[in-house]
Amino acid sequence: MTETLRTPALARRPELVRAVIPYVTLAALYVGTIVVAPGYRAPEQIATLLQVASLLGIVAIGQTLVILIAGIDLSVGAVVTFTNLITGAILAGLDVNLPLALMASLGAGAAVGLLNGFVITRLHVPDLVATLATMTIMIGAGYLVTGGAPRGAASPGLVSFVTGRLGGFVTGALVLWMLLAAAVVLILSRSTLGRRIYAVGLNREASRYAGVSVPLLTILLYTISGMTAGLAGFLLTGYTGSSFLNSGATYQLASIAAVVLGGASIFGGRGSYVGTIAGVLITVLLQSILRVIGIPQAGQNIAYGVVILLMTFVFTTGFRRRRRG
Amino acid sequence: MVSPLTFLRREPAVAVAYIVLAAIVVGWAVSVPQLGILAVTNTIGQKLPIVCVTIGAAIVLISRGVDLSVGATLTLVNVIVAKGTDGTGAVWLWVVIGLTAALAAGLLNGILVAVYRLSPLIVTLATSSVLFGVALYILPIPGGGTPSWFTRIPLLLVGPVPLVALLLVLIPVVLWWPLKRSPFGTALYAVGNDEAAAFTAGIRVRATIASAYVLAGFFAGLGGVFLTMNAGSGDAGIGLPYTLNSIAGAVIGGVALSGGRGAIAGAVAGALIMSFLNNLLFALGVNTYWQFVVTGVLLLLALSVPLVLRRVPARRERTA
Repeated sequence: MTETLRTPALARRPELVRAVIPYVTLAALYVGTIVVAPGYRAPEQIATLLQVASLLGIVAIGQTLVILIAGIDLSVGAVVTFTNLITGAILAGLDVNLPLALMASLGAGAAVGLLNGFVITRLHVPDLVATLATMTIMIGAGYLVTGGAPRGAASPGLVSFVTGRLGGFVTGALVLWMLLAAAVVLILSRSTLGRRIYAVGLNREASRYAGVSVPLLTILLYTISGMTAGLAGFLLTGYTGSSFLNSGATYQLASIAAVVLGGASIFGGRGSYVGTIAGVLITVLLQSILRVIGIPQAGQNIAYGVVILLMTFVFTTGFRRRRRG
Repeated sequence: MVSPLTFLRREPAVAVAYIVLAAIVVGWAVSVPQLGILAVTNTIGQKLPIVCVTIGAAIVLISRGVDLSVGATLTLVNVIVAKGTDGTGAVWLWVVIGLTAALAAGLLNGILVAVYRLSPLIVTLATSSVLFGVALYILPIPGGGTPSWFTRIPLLLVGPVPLVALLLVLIPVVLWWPLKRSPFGTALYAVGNDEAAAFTAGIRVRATIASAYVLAGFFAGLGGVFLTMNAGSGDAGIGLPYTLNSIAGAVIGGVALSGGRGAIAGAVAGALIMSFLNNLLFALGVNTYWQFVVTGVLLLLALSVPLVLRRVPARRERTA
């Protein structure tokens, strides 16, 4: 027991802190932003942010679930890119092909998730390394499917679903995100499945003795993560209007940053999707600000890294658990 | 001294790795249309960066950690050297600055992992993102430049032997071998095998783990210097594949993800296997995009081999 060398420090009431901090941070960041750039008060601007947030929010569903059981999914970005590529190719600008493109995206995502779950539970490969390997495979698959030159385009139906604003505000994708979010929040807080997810995240061994099939749950959650990333890639095609290589790369760290900013512990068992929603909004707002400042790419990478480090640092002081074993 | 035979008996994966490597190199040599000294020198020169990075990644793996920031460190050094040298011509000054930055990055990882005991995966994922961001900030679009004498270094011959081939052997032997034979080497394997036992035995666990990350930063930085020699310019997007390739190379060469086991000689062979496999695929006319798929699949296969080997006797016991 190496951890006994250092006793846990402060943070004895972390649950309350966890629930409140993300929303306080979001409010402070937003107020700070409109002081500097009043344009962010306009409904138009808020609607744009929500439109972007709905895609990240959907990816973050899977990432939240996986992180809750002390896992992590690095392959989501590559899955978003891959399904963005195949959606464009399958649609070829026609609404008739929408069902097929959606099925293909969800199917590809599920397949990657299944592979992740299988490699992690059966081959006992650490989550990060396993999903890093499938990430590499999916990047290659994206190049192979397109021959390096993406083709096709989104169909009018998909474009209007993702970007068309009902009452100048509500997009179809936003409604979809809210519905999925409500489902996830209910499952996590009210169902047996939710209990099991938290139980496994808090203590894998104890859950196993309590009769929870940890491998099955792991495979299920990674599959969901693959599918939500697949769905986001499908919707992304409607947002950008076409497909391009590396389109989903930013979702990898952005989704992790959103979950961590939402107060979830990277060691599992703590956090909620309610928090992640705030994390997603913070991330999207931060991305937008950095774009305005003029350092979108470099600034984002530094911000994600610092945020993940800080949150891990802060939240680790309270509950320290062995991850390896 | 450990005799070579004893070494191979203790680390059978190393022998397997070198046999596989030999087969791939022979296959590559046969399928390359014109194999001259220049082609060989160039090809070996291209291997130096990944070999250096893999040595660093393997040292951290042996300490029972993992370093996902080596690719970003390599990128940062590449960008610093290419951007700094461009116009000033002060190559060595910027090489030193670049390597200092790499050491600092390694030290940051080391402190966060060893002293604050944060998860190495998360720490290095986060610092990787920061380092990559800094590299992008320094050089938003590929560019910069180095003097031509610098880019010609990999082509130099020492007698009949290409300098790069010598370096390929000398870097592990001169930079790693003494460390391995030192108390640090013993401590590194001890900590990787059983941290608590190492602590009880009076080994300075924190200092050992932190040193592993500093070394990883240094070797990744060295890889960045060689990469800049090959490329002659900087590119913030260049280092991404190196992270996975270095871990894959180390694992293929017999370094265990669970720590404490494996040899740097094996990791070097693993890195060369991955790299020469790409040369072979290219020589055979296979689409270069397959490289990504091959890398990922090879890593998963290499990771599952020890598990399958361990499973076989276990199954027998159960049925008996």
